[in-house]
Amino acid sequence: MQVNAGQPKKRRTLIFRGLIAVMTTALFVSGTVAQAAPSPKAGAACSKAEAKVTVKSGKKALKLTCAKVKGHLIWVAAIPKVKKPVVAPAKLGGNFRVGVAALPTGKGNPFVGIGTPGIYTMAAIYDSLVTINEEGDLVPSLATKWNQTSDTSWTLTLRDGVTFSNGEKFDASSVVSTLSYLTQDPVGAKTIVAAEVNNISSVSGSGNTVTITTKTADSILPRKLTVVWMVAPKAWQTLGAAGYALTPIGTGPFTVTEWGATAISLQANKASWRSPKVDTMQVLQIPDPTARIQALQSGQIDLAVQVGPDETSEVDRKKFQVVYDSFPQVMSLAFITTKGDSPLLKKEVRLALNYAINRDSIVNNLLGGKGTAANQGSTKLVFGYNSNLSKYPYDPTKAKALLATAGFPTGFSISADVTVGSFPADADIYQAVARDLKRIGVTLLLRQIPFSEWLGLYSTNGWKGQAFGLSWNSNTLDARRAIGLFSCSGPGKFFCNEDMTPVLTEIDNASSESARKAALLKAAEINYNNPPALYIVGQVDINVLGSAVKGFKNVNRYFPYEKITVR
Amino acid sequence: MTVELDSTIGRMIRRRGAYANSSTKFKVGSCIGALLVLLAAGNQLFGSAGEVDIASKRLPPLTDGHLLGTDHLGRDLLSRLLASMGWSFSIALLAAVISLTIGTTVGVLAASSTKIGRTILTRYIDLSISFPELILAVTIIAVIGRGFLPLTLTLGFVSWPHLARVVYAQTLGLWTREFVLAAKLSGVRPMRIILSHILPGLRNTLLVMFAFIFADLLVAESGLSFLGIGALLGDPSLGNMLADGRRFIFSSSLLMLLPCIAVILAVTSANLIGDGLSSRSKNATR
Amino acid sequence: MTLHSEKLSPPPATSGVRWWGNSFVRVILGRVGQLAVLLWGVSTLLFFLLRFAGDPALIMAGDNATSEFVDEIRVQYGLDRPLFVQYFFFLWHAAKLDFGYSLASGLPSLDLVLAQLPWTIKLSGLAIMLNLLVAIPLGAWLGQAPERRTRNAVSSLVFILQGTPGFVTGLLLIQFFAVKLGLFPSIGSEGTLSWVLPTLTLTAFLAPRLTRVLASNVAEAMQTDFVRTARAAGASESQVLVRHALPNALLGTAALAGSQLSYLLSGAIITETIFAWPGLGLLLIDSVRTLDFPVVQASVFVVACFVFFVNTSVEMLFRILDPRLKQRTK
Repeated sequence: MQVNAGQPKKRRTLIFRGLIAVMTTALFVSGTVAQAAPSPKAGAACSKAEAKVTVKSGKKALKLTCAKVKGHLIWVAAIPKVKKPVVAPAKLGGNFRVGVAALPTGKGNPFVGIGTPGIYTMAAIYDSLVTINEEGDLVPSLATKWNQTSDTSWTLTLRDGVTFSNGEKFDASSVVSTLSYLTQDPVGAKTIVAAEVNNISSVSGSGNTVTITTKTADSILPRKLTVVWMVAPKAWQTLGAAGYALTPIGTGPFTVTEWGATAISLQANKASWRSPKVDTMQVLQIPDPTARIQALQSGQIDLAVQVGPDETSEVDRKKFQVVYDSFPQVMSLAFITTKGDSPLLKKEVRLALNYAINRDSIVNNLLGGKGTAANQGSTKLVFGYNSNLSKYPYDPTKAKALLATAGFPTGFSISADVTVGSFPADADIYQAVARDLKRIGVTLLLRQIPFSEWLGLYSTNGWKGQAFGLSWNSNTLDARRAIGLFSCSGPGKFFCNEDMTPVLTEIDNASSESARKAALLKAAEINYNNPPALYIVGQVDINVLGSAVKGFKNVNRYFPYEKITVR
Repeated sequence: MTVELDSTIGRMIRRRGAYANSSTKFKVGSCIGALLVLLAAGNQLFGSAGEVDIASKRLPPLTDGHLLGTDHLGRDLLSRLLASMGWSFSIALLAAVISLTIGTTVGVLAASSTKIGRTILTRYIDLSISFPELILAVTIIAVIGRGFLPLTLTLGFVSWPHLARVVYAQTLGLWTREFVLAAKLSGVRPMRIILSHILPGLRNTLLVMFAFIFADLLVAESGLSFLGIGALLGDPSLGNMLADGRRFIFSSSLLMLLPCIAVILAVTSANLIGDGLSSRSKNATR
Repeated sequence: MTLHSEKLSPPPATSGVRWWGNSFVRVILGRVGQLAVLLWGVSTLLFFLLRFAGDPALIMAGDNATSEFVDEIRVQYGLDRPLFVQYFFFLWHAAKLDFGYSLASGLPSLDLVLAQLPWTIKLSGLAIMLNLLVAIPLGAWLGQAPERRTRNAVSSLVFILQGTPGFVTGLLLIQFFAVKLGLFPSIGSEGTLSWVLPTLTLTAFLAPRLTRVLASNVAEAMQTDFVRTARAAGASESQVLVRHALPNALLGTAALAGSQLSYLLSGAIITETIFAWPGLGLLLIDSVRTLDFPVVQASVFVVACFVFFVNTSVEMLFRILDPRLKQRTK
């Protein structure tokens, strides 16, 4: 149109073109950077060492690679053909990255938590005197031998030549001071771990021999010691519990270099008696199981811990290893019988519910065929598991008949408080159970509550429903704890069967391991014929590994990290 | 968006032809919206939410009488989808009603009260608006628990300040209009004026805002349920379906895509209705 | 969740702003007062809400805990005292910026929050920049002649994008670009690449909204008298757009800035959770799920301060830039 209008128009077009160019370049560059990353591992190395992206504009394809400049790994424009890997491929070494749902709650303090989630980290830092293998048997760790010398005393022989990561020697004095802290220190004696070993009255020893005296006859003391991680006495003295939590010192294969809010960085402790094969290790907190799988698939971690069976359905089995292990924990709905009227007060009803659910279908369809149909609170690995008990048959007709004899021919309605997200597929399993019960006329209303609320209701027996979700487990793989929970003297006080009371006394007073086992089997049988819970399934652990990871083993969530290689 | 809604600040737009567009928007929006609501309501009345049957989980479409196949627990996907739409729409609708009630009350009160009352209320509204609602919602839900009722109440409770601000502005404008001034001068009590003049004058604005609040709350509900802090175990909710379906995005894509499309369609149709209405009401005021 | 009423900012009740010279001080003082009220209100609400949610001592102790251990914790954290004593104790410490230690990690909760805050700010900042980079040209283009066919189609697309929840976009991006193609990391914040997907997600969440407001403002401005005058004076359409309509339209979105920020932070919660981004949103969701009271308190406190600070500075900035705002406040 006008002559003078030409220029501003051009300017405007230029501005817009410029903007668009910047945007496309940004997208383009990010794309190329991604393609140029030689492997996820090198990418991670680069990003770790203050990644820098050097970009030259232009129409030619940009190739960015990871290179070492002045000791820093940076992204530089690569000259074609010159492809030098940063680190020469060695047989061993490398970085092993683990994605877990949560980091240990008390940081590196080994006494404020037992089992999940802490164990995934603790197993890399600490050792216990005795551990339990995948058959459920006790095997040596820092102690090589243990003997019960009298009803109330045990003698342990310690492993030679073990040192802590700070150079302290591991010997009898380490054991004495660790156990004394748990039994005599005012703070230490109130920790969760201390509750497991409160039967210990004194510990003494020198050199490689330790003698432990117990208050009452204790045939399973070594089993209890499996939850006690050994700490270095001098460091514990100087740092205190709080200081130790941030700079944990153990005899395990790794030492902590940095303890962040969502990640822990560890370094190989080459002097450890379990010297690892990789150089470094990282434990990353990724709460969502799907996100853990995605992180594994996109090469950010090498091991996704505890994911659900459904999450693995998208995983390419050629690129990743999906490892199933049964976990000694039985998922159940606990029956509440101490709080007023409820159909569950009748033994027939409790049995009927156990006949009404199709456990095999749950195992096959929801747990990938790897869980176990439960008929008691223990699984094979647990001390006190009764293998003589047969499965509860899936028999809705029999269940209905039992309901009719109990006076509920048309069924009834109950509600149960449950938490979900703690075990693989638990939400799905509960819904399948509700569906099965519906078939015999029992309406199960599932009230999903957060774990914090569950804890409150559990500790006060403040349940409003007739049942609640409870898993039968034991830190020491011993059946006594769970049986105790369902007894008249249990802490929850939600179930009481007087027949059990003498058997519990028998278990507690047993002086030999075999006598104790016999009593535990009797208890399991009582709980089979008069079930305190709707036993559902023995749970599974599903861990997914990158294809390069070798040597992984899951021993009841204790991972022997020293055997792992990543190349 | 109600950008053009404001009559006190903005100028009247004198654009010709653009309004043909706005009426189309309203029509398209209401058609889609009505269809979705009818489907959801029909299922609520005559259909079911699908029964769990783990033996026939994740069936492909058109197997065993399942038109769209089944979900990861063997529930009929179509029934599940429609039930979820019903559930999520109901929450968004009820919460929007709550939000509308509180917001209108506070907004009208703020604009009609004395100077001190006005200052306090407007400050309160401004402060509430500046605080991220989702953060508040997340915290409240953590306390009062999940499920239909808590979710509805929380969403209604956190979303009203925006509405109150709009209502406040509109009401201020209305108080200066001749017919209101005339009523005021002739000694009609303020409460009466509010009921007989102000509220009817707000009608169009409220309708528009209702559509937008509904859209926003639907997104919020599915977001919270998706994060696992909204719907309860087994509740049919679009967010729940999305959270479950994301695990099978490649092997059974429908499980995630369908609720995804449902949310987008519902939100877009509500936005279209709101947009159309707002332009229409402006035409009327002109 | 934010509503679409941004442009409607009614006359704020602040009166007496005559000239920005001395009124600025007054406005800022007033703002600080408001902030104090906001912080007190939010903290108090949260304190009582959270106490009703569960017993912190039980949560800290876990399900294996002995009752002695629980009592020990109660005494240690002062949870054995009456609620109101605890409340005043809490207020007194909060005033000194001491929110106590996280129940989960045992670290000072404010430190935890402040360590995560930069990640949220950085991510949000990047998203805002990309948002402006996309929305301004797109909005201007769409608003210049909204009735044209291509622009109408693009408008509809933007409309649909606006109806797409942020987490859906995020999920799809992760599945295709991280899992399927392996181009970007799916989670975390390590390295430059990990910024791409979260930023895109957050932008996809923000940009449609701004684009539409801007397009509509531009369209409006194109019809105003001064634009007509400029046109009559011989300015080309593009000149009119860039010199006159766009600046005006941009200033018109000033009121949008405040609620856009709260909208952004709401989006950040979900985005950070999906990408396990170590920001404030992730921390908040985690601590809310586990009822980690001190951390919830500290993060909400920091969020409130942050939002308030940004909003106030944006408002001040626009007061200087746009004389019309000053008139409106009268």
